[in-house]
Amino acid sequence: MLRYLAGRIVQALVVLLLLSAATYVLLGLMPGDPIDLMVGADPRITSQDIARLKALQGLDRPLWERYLHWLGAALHGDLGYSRLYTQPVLDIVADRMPRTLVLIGLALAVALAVALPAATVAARNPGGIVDRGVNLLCFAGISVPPFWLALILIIVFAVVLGWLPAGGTVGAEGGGLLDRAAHLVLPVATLAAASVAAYTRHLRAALIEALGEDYVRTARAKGLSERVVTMRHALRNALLPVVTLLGLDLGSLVSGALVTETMFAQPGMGKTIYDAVMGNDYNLALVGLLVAAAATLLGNLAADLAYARLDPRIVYRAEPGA
Amino acid sequence: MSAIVRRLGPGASLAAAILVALALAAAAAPLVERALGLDAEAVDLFGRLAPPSAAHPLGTDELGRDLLLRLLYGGRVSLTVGVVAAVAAAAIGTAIGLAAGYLGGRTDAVLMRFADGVIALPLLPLLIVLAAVDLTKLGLSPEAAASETVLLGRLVVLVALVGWPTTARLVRAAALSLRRREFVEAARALGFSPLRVAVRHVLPNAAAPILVATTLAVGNVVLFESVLSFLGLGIRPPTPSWGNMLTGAQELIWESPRLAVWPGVLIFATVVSVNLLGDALRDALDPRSRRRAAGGARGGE
Repeated sequence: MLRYLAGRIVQALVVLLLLSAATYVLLGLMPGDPIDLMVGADPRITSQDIARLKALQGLDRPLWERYLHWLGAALHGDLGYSRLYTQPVLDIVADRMPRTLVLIGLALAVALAVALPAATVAARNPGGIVDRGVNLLCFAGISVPPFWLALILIIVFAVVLGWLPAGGTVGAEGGGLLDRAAHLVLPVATLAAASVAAYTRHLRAALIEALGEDYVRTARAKGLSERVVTMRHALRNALLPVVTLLGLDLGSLVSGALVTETMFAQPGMGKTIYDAVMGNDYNLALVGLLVAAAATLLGNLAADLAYARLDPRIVYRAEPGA
Repeated sequence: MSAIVRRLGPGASLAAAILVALALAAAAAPLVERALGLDAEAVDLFGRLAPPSAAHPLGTDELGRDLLLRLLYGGRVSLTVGVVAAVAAAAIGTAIGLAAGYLGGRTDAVLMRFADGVIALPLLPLLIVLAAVDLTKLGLSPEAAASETVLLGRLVVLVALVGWPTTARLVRAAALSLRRREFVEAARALGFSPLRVAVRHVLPNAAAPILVATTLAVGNVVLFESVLSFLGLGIRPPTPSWGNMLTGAQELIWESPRLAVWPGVLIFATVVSVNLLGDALRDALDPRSRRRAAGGARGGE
């Protein structure tokens, strides 16, 4: 088990290393470089100044040398400086990360809270009217463009009804907890929609399969109520594949957080990455991307470990070459 | 016709009809333009944000352009990108899935680990970085880099790069079971090369999963295209796409919420229809999946 864990962590580190190299090269291909931007801001700059500035920032050296330099510094905890916010990148990430974690955590909780009962009700009578309704809603959930769902929610709840704020994190009066919560309702609903649909579909399928198993027949035969059979016997087994799905779904949730935060003006990691890429803030974009990827990989690993814990039949061993 | 409807079921048949209608309407955009006597690109600053009227059936946008015509022309772009990128993604996925399933062993392990990795990563942030790459730094002339064909091509490549794992998994599963079958053994025994056996004997028998995966991929691809264009990194104005038409709509949400509705409805209708159709195709082509009747277009199951 420990060897397996170590193997997986090494794997994740290799992925991150490759990703950092690839992203570093790609960011070098984005329009302009830091000096161009300074030149644009100052008309009196001379070509000697430009050469001096380039040497100062190391831009006269080859790309791979710059990358190794960046990597060395990053491993010593120096993630560089954000051009856009004129702050150390680490400070910005430390400030934005918790917001995104709250957003994703809440969306995940809402998604599970809706998907569990929906799938249970649907699986009770497959092909029935309730099942069909749930199924149709699921199709809608996986098919709706998240940013459009956000727009529609803003139109309905902010523009027409005026019940909820259209964006931001606190009201003008800088309100309390209730105000902050109100600002989170629409973003969480937007982010949860696609996950609700995906979880419900998988859970429903797993439940239907579990309800056809022999142990369910046995449980029914010994006179247990249908509720106990479903909740205590079938559901517990049907939840297993959903654990794996949760891990795999984290990547989509991080992608979704980018859209949601941008739509609702929430200063989280997603919006920060987007703004950094759009504003040529290389250091911040690179670190933001790596943090998002690292979080996703960790989530995957956690899901796999939880799976092994919940299902005693699964034993992880370090496999050669994997 | 009625046989198809019976096999797919009423829901999926309706979905197919909606898709055909959308494609025909988009194709007929120039005809509609002539029939209305309008120019799709004509800017009319005095007629900004006009409500629906006889002259403009759906009203006008923030520059006074006819909304219906923009939607139809946008549909051409969005649907073309959707189909082309989905086919490209399916082609990559088929090649990788076939190699993994037919060769098996270590090749299989490495390729599938790679596919899992692509599925698990946060794709949108990665796509945004890729889409922001300055093509002139890759040696393209500024004119070529700004041309519509190159921008469209780039979007297709980007979306295909992240869209292949679904097909790869489905094709791999099919190839895994096919390679043990007698007719494949026979082809091998006749001394054909592995490539020929894989392409001529295994591939045609995996047509059903490939068809299903390609259909489902169209839905995912349309979603990716719309969000990238919405964020300003896909199709660039003045070329309309359903995604980039929503970019301007967000700023005008208090003045003219109407603008935000239509492009989204069309994206939604397209993706729902594609997903329903893909699901029904899977059930129709694979009787075993009828019992399970699950799996998702999302997350690449």
